Amino acid sequence: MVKGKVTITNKSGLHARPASVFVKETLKYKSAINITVNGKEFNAKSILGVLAACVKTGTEIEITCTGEDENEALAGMSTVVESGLGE
Amino acid sequence: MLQGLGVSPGIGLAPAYKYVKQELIIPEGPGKGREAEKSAFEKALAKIIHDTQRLAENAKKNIGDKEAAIFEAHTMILQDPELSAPILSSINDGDNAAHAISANFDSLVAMFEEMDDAYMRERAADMRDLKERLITDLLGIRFRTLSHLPGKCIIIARDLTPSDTAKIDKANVAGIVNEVGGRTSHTAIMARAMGVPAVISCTGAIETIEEGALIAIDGTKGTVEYNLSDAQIASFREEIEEIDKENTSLERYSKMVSQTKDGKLIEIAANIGTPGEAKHAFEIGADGIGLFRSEFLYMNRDTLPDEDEQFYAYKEAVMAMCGKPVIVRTLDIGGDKKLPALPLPEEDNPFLGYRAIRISLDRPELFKTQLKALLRASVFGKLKIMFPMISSLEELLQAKAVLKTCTDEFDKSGTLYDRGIQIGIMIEIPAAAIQAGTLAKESDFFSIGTNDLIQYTVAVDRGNDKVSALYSQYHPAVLRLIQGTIFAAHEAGIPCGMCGEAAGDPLLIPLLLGMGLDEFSMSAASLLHARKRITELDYTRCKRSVKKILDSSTIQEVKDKLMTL
Repeated sequence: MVKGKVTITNKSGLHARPASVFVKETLKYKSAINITVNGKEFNAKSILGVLAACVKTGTEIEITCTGEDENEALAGMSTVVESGLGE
Repeated sequence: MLQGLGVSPGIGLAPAYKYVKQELIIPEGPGKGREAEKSAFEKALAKIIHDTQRLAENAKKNIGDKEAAIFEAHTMILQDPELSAPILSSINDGDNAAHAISANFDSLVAMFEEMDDAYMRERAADMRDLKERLITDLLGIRFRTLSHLPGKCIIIARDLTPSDTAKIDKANVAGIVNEVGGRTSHTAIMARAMGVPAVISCTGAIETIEEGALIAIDGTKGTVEYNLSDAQIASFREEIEEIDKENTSLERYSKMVSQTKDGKLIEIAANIGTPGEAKHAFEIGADGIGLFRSEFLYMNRDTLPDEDEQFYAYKEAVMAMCGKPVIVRTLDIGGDKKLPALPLPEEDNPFLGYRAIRISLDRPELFKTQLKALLRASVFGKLKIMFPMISSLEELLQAKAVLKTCTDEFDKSGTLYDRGIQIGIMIEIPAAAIQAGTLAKESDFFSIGTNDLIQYTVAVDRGNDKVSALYSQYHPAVLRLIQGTIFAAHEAGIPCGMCGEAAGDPLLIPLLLGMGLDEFSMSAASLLHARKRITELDYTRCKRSVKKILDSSTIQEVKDKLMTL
């Protein structure tokens, strides 16, 4: 299991469109991927999970990846968040 | 008669078709057993996913990318295993499929409703929409559909949703009546884009109007008439026939060049309020967009639109016009309009107060966000920026300085924009009209905003019944200001347009043409009338009559002389 923290910087936070970009990225990896926001954990491979996390811009989230490609997954997720999730 | 808000012009006369969603009755108990219920759920889910994907494609083709994105997000939610897993597990525990869907969706609705983010709370409505669609499909309930209407009819609804309007049977809609909504509501925008007459905010329509009864709506006046007498029916029929006849005879003008009999080329452009309307304007042959009001981006919402959101909207309009010019006016609001996203203090005199460019210059961050979005969109066609309410050269220079900081930043970051982008101003304050010569040296174009120019010149609030009779576009003083503005523009070698209602006035068009107005911008509904008028006129003759008309002493004298042209 690997963990990393990233800050959501795109303007609307994890609204439907950026959330779908985020979820699409998770689906590229075999690892289980979760996010922890304000102490609560959500399934990052589910758009409902990501929307439920209600992440606003400027919020720091922790990404946890567990599985055979966990290192690639964590790197990929950090990159997609830093690139602004298509916004 | 019911009175609502007319948001899309035209007359509709047809039977009422009520589109009311009933309460769903959800069965209890195990249903047909685990396996049967599971496969029924999976079948319904697959069907709704398929339908939603088709809605997205349809919306992309017919409405716009933004509407399509809603359905793409819906598809993703429907495909989410976290959606289906708890439903399947409820069915495994002995629940029937419809009840399992209902219960699980209800908890999702509740979850969204509790979020402390206005955007997320609105997603609760999306979840209700999906739930309803799944269950109706599963139970084989056929709700009234809008995709196959029984014939020409007027739809009466509480409020149409995006999924309703995307499916609508366009060929058979004679009109739309909504009980709720505002000028920028989804229904209003859609109706205008489709060219269907619509009345919204019409309280009591569902209860008062009988299903199938012949009703008549006027999308300009905002009226809905029922219990029609034979005489009324005949008169509405006549009115519609006349409009139809005119429209058919006007259709050929959509492909014609805006040129006078003696060969002078003019631009006949459209005024629009949303990017979707640009598509319609292009289809009816507008030579450009003479005024794109950017206010819609700021209305009916709690947060200000960011640069990207604005960029997409401007880009959509520019692309829809395929290289024809699109003049976007920067934010033009003031103390008379309430914007939840931008609270402004109440003022005693809002029309003389903190509004339009004055707000933009006072809040450079707000202004820069809009300018940057405009600059980015400028590479997709021919976008021009226009500043409203300029009353002095200082304001224009200040606005241009803010624009320069944006282009400097873009140069540094390597962001693309049209380096030849034209910057113009509205001439709508008498001071600007009088000083037009000075302002022209710092502008690439003028557009005369007659509505405000008249109100400021004759000091009349036309919303005030007691004085509104004094408001007239035929006032000799107003006409002189217009002529002076056009003259000053041409002296400086820049074009002059007009985007107020006067530009579409058939009586005034010959005079404006004679004065040398280069571009006439008006609502899409007037556009072809104006083009027809222009093609029938002789510029040289109009030019010769200008002096005679400007020499008039009274409004009546002006009107009398215009009648002879």
